[in-house]
Amino acid sequence: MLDQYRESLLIFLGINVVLALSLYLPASAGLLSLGQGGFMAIGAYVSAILTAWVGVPFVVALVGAGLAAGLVGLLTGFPALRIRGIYLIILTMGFGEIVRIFFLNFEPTGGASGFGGLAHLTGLGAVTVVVLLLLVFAVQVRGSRIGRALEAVREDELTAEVMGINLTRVKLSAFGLGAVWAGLGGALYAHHALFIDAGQFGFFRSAEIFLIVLLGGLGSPWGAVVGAAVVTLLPELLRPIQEWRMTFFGSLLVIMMVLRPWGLVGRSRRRMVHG
Amino acid sequence: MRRATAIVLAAALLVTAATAAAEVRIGVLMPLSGKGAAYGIHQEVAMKMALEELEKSHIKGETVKLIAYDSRGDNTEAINLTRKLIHTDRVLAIIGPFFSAECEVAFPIAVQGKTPIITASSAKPGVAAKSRPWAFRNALTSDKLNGPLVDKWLAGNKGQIKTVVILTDVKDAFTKADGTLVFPAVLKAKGITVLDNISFQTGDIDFSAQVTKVKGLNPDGIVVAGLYNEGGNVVREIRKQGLPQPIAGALGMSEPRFVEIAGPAAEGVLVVNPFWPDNPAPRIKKWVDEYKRRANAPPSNTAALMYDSLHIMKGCIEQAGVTNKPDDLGKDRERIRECWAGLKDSPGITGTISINADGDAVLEPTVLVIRNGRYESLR
Amino acid sequence: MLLQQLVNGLMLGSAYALIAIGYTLVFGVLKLVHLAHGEVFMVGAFVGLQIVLWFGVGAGVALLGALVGTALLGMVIELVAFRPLRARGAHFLAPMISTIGVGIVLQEVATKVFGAEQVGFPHRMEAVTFHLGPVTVTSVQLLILGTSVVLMAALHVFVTRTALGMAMRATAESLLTARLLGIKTNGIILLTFAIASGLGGAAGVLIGLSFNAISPFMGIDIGVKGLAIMLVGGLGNIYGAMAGGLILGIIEILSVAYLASSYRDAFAFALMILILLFRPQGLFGSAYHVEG
Repeated sequence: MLDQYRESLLIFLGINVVLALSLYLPASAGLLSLGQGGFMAIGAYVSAILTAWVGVPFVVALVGAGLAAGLVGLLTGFPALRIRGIYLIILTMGFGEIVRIFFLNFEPTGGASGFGGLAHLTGLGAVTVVVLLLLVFAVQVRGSRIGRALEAVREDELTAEVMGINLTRVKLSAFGLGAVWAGLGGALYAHHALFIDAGQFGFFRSAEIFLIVLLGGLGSPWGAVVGAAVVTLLPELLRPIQEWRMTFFGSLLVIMMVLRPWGLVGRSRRRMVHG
Repeated sequence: MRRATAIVLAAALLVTAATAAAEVRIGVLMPLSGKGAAYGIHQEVAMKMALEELEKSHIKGETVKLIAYDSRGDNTEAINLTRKLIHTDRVLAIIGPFFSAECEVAFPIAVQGKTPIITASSAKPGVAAKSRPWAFRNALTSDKLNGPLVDKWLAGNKGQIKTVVILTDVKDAFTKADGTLVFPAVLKAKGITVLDNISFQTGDIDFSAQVTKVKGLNPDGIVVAGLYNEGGNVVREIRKQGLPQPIAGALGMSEPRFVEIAGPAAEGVLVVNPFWPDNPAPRIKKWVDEYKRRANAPPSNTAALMYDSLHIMKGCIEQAGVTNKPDDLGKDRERIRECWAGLKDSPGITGTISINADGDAVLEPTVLVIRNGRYESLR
Repeated sequence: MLLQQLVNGLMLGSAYALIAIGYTLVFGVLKLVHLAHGEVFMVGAFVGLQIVLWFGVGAGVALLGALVGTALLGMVIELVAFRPLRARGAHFLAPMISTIGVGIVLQEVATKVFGAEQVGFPHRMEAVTFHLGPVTVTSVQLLILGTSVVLMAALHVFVTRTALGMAMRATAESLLTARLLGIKTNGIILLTFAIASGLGGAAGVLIGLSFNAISPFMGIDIGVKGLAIMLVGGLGNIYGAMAGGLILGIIEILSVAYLASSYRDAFAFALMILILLFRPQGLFGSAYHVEG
């Protein structure tokens, strides 16, 4: 039987998979975002408002959260169209920080004091359903025409465009959908932690998601799963050496990159991402 | 050979089972790594001091086991670890977590798991009140303490303070409430005008802009609502830019580290705190000296609160009829909860402690002034 | 008042500039972002502090010691975290992750060795304040400005007048060509790291002296800002980094002075985003280098 502690670990694992997939999707089009924390925040707060103030069922809150995040994703996606590589990474990082600062100061949702008193609506079942849905979608896309379009955009934009691929549509969809998924992750998080504040969704969160995807490997959705598993569960497994956990983790990152720079899942691919 | 091993194993199991049952298990959550490590390490020293005393004295003849986890100051860890302590480790009660945000996520879990949880540090208004009856706060809340502080501050300056500028750390929930709600209210009630409320954030290191602004406003007095790192540097900057006004500081600045950081600039600053680290009373002095010997540094407020919390816990376990039998876990937790809820005038390093209806500790405030790098009481 | 705020901004900005130069040097030569640079800066501050505490010397020696110490650290980082990845032809993200790992390890080790508390230089090194008309400056602020100017000037001379410096620029322009020309690029890269890290370490001591807030976590915030400056100034452009640092320092101070401090970071990021959108090569970069 699953005790509460293990259940919580698995729920967080699931949420991290959702967040990792939310980055994997735009990344497969060559769009690397260091700002998924910002979309997560939007999803979290919107879902909290919906369940706590408006009193809707959880499913409605999830959809609302995803849509809100997705909308912001589309809006921020436009400027991102012309920007690539390291520039996009820093741009999205700036976006994520701006979102965090906004919620830190936005008094109606608590500001620095945060938003608490949420109902525990995120069960293992809900998380599993969402994870499976997203995973199936991602795997299907990868093997489909859309997946090949994403890959083409990632590998060589100019050629892709010449071949008739609508760059704007592909990039915006990938970025926007990634934002939707991050919003879902935020909603799931909010209703498991029962309290959210701006600090939960800042640079560290975005960096953690970024790390998960790169550790697991950009080549396939399974990379996101493996990466999330490592980052979520390893600190717990290392608890006997509590105080050295982070040192171990940092060293592991270096060693991993030296030995398998393309990530845990997938084989060496020369030009994974442009830039 | 196999049989011998089996017997040894069985004996070992029996012994461990026997000793396991006779253990009083208390959970502790502290940030031992990450940004809060400075605070957490202090609490750990105090925890170890208390543990040694508890191990010598035992609780009702049984050994005390403190299951202490490093939460890294992280909400996710706080959630997982609180669940672990309650359901897997099956502790009688939990002391911690440290940060207010961690408490916000951990307390509801304790309520659902019907386990008493006491934070020895969070100062955020209302944090325990939301999770009654299982959550408690053995720490300082500023709304009761700032009144006496301002009184003494105004009196000490012979009524020459008519205008004040407040500098507030708006990133930390507690200092923000202090600076934007509590202090203004207290000052207004005394007829003092607040000229401006200038903000900074936890983690800032440069305050030149804010202090220059204060200089331009030229108030009679300055109030700083910050934690000890930022507060120390703000005060330093104030004196560096040549501002002579008297300064009163929020709760976060009554930590000894504040004095170290601010250096000579801390002279004359007024703060309020139940725990007086330079208290000459023999019992307190002895404790502080022992702490200094172990930690090579003076104790922090929250270390003293951790120490007291553990001793109160001991008292409750002894006096509330706790049996510590595995079947009685639920009832034992309830007994401990009741004991905490009814706590009155319990003597501690931080003064006499009582718990009020909100689950908050009621402690006697001592207004302190800093002279020559030491805290002196302004009774 | 405005003048004072501008002076404040200038002081802060010159320290920022030193850090940004470090980032941009590494990027120029390797086309990679050295995400542990903020931690190198932090180590520099601690090394300087330790030198002062052990030997009772003044700021100048501390500065020198930190410079040398972090230069060595920088070279170790290149050998451990960057070079092996270059050999395997990994894409640009792997070294970034690797440096994140290095940064974490440095932070953790610093916490273990120096403790988690925020510390400062001894108060005997307290700054002397000068009042020049309406403006107040301290001796430490002047030291920061002076040191930054000297270091930046030295760098400029090195890069434009010496053979080694030009070899560095050649390597930055094109690694392959430089190698073909017979330049020992591995050695040049090592030198670049040494210089970049040394500057970062010096900045650490200067910031430590000025703000009395040395902690294992001081590198994170500064690191992120240095990154932003490098971007605004133009990736790989030393002069852009210098200017960008000064600009960011002044903007930060002014936004705190005239708006609320909570929005200070938002302001800096918003500005950065605007520049990225309308002039992605940075204020001083050439359009040629846009492709990241």
